[in-house]
Amino acid sequence: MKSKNLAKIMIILITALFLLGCAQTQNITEEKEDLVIGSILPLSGDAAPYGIPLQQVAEFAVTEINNEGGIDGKNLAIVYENGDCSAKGGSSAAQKLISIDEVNVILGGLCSGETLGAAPIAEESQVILFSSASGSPDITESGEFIFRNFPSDASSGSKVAKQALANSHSNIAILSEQTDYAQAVKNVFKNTLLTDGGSVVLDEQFTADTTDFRTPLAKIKSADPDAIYLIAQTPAKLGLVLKQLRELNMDQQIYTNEFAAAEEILESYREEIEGAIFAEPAFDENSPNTAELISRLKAEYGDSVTAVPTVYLATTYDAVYLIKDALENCGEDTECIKTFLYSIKDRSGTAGKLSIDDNGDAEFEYEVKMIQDGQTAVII
Amino acid sequence: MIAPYIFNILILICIYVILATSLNFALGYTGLLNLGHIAFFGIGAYASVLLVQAGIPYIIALPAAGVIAGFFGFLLILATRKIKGDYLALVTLGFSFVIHSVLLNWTSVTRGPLGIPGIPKPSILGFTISSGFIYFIFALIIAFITWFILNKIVNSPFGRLMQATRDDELGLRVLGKNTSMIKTKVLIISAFFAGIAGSLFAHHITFIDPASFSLQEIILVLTIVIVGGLASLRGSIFATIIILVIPEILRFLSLPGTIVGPARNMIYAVILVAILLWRPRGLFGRVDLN
Repeated sequence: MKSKNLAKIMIILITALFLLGCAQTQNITEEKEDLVIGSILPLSGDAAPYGIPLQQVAEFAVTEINNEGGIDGKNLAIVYENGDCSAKGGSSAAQKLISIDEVNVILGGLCSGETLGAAPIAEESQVILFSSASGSPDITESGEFIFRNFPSDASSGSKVAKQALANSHSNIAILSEQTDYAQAVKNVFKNTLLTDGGSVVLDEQFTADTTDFRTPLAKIKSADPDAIYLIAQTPAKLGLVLKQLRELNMDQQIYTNEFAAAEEILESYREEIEGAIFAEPAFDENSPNTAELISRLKAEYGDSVTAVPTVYLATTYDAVYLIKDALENCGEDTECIKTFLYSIKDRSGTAGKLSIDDNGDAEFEYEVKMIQDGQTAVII
Repeated sequence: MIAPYIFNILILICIYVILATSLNFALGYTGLLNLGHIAFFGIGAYASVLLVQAGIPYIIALPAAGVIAGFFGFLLILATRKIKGDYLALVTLGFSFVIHSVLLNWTSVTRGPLGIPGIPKPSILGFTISSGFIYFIFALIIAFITWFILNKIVNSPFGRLMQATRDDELGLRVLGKNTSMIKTKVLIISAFFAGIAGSLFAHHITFIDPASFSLQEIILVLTIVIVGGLASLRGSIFATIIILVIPEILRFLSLPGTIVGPARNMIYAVILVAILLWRPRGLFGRVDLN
């Protein structure tokens, strides 16, 4: 009987909470006339450490905009939905934002799965889906109303492959993580390398939960490549691979991605990462704009916000402002917003200059960099 | 404008009803603690999409997805027919990891972790199901057929044999019944319907990747079956509705933006715990899991 009563009390409490919630929602909509946009981010689960800082950045930008008078006298407001980092979550979230909240612009998602799940629904309802963090090359083709100000994963791979060949490293061993991001970058790297006359001596992969890389590394060692291309999903994983690689006395040239420049790597794996070559969008986190944004974010939300690579924070911040400009120009007419976004050329923001191409993708200038004395140095 | 949102939830409910009732068919009625069910779901999804992309009409791809999943069900039971209980749970869990690994690694066919985007909506005899309402009717019909067939089987003499296999396998064998044949048939049927659900899922979401068929999804389906109660198809249907609708209701709970993700999950968990405290055997459960 006791547990029965407990359960009843819980259910009553929850119902009360729910009704309270409903009442609050009504009040808010009645009081103010807001311009409401939606946002899909992973707010729970494994990807939440990325999703929550991006949500904070978006809120930060919204507060700024509203403090400066909002958009045509109206306040901007974002309704957040959890995309759960999955296609199913992204699609349900988009469906809810479009049908219930009747938004015309959605900021998100973060995980490529979320964006690809939401894209068909946004496209069908002619709602703008603007991702500031998804890199999958498949998003390029996913529709007219789908945009991003984040570079496609495809770009970095080809740049690094060309650099490797220029350094006359033509026999390359690849070690990559089995995730959508890492595989997309790797595929482009491999294709560019093979087309331009290089060869891949070994193509090894590891799953996301691997922590011991000695077996694939030993295979790579015995294959004796000119250089090694390492692609991991997170800086922490990259560091772990590097450490084990150096423990095996392998001193080949390392090619990798922008995680080489992550604070975590430069601090904890300073010796291991020395000399590594990678490509990243021409994005200068020490530029006055970006540095100011980061310091203000840190002051507002603490250090946890910078657990995310700075470029994501900057692109998300810019995305909110871009959406603001679009809404100011067009109101909520999505056809007009679409045309407006396609016409963006050389717009400066905290993430550098942005141009949007015919596919709704960001055209990013890529720079090839090298780690020298624990610092990044541009080589091309 | 509210309609597409409601239909999306209804379609997902139909898909998970198929998935949960077919799992309950093996788990609740026959006592096969099968944690590989989600693998059949994934096999069905990939099979259907790959067949449609190869130019096979959807009307053939849909049952083919079921048959292919059923064939893997046969392979699984072939390997596991001598083990039961916790051991079976472990081996079948292993099976779903194997399938997940294959989906990740067989990149030439499945595109690996990149997944398959842009899956077309089903087209039957020249008619494309594009609207949410028609897709819902289509999924509802299939869910109803699934329930009808499974319900017929569990209430037939064969259904009683299934339950006897669960309660006293040795006794049944003493009576001269071939229990491994019973288990084989049950798992094939169960896998068949999971495959059908997979096909409906893939063409509804229009994007699949191996992560859509991961451990988290097994837990969701298992939760539905346990909350609904073992050996109760009606329970599984009610539980699917509850478990899929609660998170949607929680979307309307106005919470401060920054805690919305974790808070919803906590409330969701509390509700599930409350249901199981109130009804330890699930809503309509008739047997205990041992």
